[in-house]
Amino acid sequence: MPAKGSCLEDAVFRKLIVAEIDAVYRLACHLTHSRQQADDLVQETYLRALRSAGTFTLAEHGVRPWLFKILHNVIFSRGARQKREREVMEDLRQDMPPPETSAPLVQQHLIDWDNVDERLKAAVNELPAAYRVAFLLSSVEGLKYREIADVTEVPVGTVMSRLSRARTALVTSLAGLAAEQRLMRARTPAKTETRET
Amino acid sequence: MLDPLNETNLRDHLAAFADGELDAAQAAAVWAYLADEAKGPAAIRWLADHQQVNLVARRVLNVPAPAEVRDRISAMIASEPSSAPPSSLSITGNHWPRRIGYALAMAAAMAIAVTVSNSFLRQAPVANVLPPELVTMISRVHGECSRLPEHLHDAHFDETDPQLAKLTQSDLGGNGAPDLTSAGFRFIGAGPCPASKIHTVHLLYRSTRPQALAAVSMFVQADTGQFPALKPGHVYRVSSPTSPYPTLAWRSGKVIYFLLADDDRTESSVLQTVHPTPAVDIVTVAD
Repeated sequence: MPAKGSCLEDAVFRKLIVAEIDAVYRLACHLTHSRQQADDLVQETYLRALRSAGTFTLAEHGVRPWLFKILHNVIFSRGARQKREREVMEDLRQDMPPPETSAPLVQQHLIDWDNVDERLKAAVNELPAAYRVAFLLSSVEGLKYREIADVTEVPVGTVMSRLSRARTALVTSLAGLAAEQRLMRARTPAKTETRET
Repeated sequence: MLDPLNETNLRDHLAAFADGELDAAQAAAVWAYLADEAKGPAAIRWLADHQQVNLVARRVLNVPAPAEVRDRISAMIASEPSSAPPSSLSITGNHWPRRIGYALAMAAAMAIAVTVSNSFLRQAPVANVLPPELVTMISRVHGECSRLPEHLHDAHFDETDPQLAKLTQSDLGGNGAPDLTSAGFRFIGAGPCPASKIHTVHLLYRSTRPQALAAVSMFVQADTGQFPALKPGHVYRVSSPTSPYPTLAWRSGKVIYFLLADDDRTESSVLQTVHPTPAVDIVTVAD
């Protein structure tokens, strides 16, 4: 029979990990683009978490980064077995070329931030997975660079450059949308004018 | 170790600066770059775009798991045996006399248990009053936007949204943004805020004391009945573990107000300045 203290610890631990289901599912979904696979990955992540409860140290890791690290490892370990996840694994190793250092910092087209939701979702999905993970862990899940480095097992400097490149790619994509919208607006009156005449 | 700021790693430094990841010396180098008349404005614009990407991403991508997934995984967690207790809470007795170690472990476990059970028991009231994700978002916006240079917030309230400015003035009096100088804060600027799908204007204030970094944010939305649980005449103090700043919320019937400061005391003193009713019922809701 476990000691009284152990029972309490176990219950607290379970409550802590239950509170992170949304975050773990969200990351799995964004990484696989498949609800079914995400569902499966979350289940395996939690099974492993329960089996690894002894290695969890609340003082050193937050529960969320620890679960993300397990999820990350699950994806890697499955990569050898399934084609789609192999692609994800390759994608996780993929690097993005750095932006031209001489390129201007200012976008040429002002972005209409009220109307970019769908484009942003699409642009995030188009990021290489390593960049997508870094971006989601930082911008959506609020992890610090050091925690992201721990989850993804890369140096902090790599996290920093991945985040910067990912966001630059997203801003560039949204600026592209702004340019398209401007072009469309410029064309529309011309058509009306032709019809009227 | 991060290389010193140069043109090659400028974007990395700017992004890390916006994320609050630079040490004081590195941040000072970025501040100096931003203050440069020739190069600064482009970097500020770049920073603003990146902040907006973060905010929109949080709003759009921060979706919960479907209820059936959450229920199934929760049930699995409840039924599955775990191999060993988490090590931070386990009683090893290797470095401490056994009794002291046990007492400390119990105290830690009890403290966490209380926090966790409170968060479970008291989650409903916040959700009943305001969407928790909105509370989280405005708290993050307050923290992030207040870090950006002042000249990024250069718009007047009237220019940003004349109609909302007029409604606010009819509630709180004065011209332009509410005047918080008597509470020690000066108006910096207004801007549309993507924290909510409902059109929201963020009014940013900074401390009038030289070198002080304290900031106050007011977020205003036209009151179209979107938060019926906010009763006029009451001010709601909303506390959530995902919102690092204390948040006050109230509605006037014309405008919904959210007031955030860096600490409770400042927030209370600003509330006394801004709220037209001298005595208000403060309702605390907490996660």
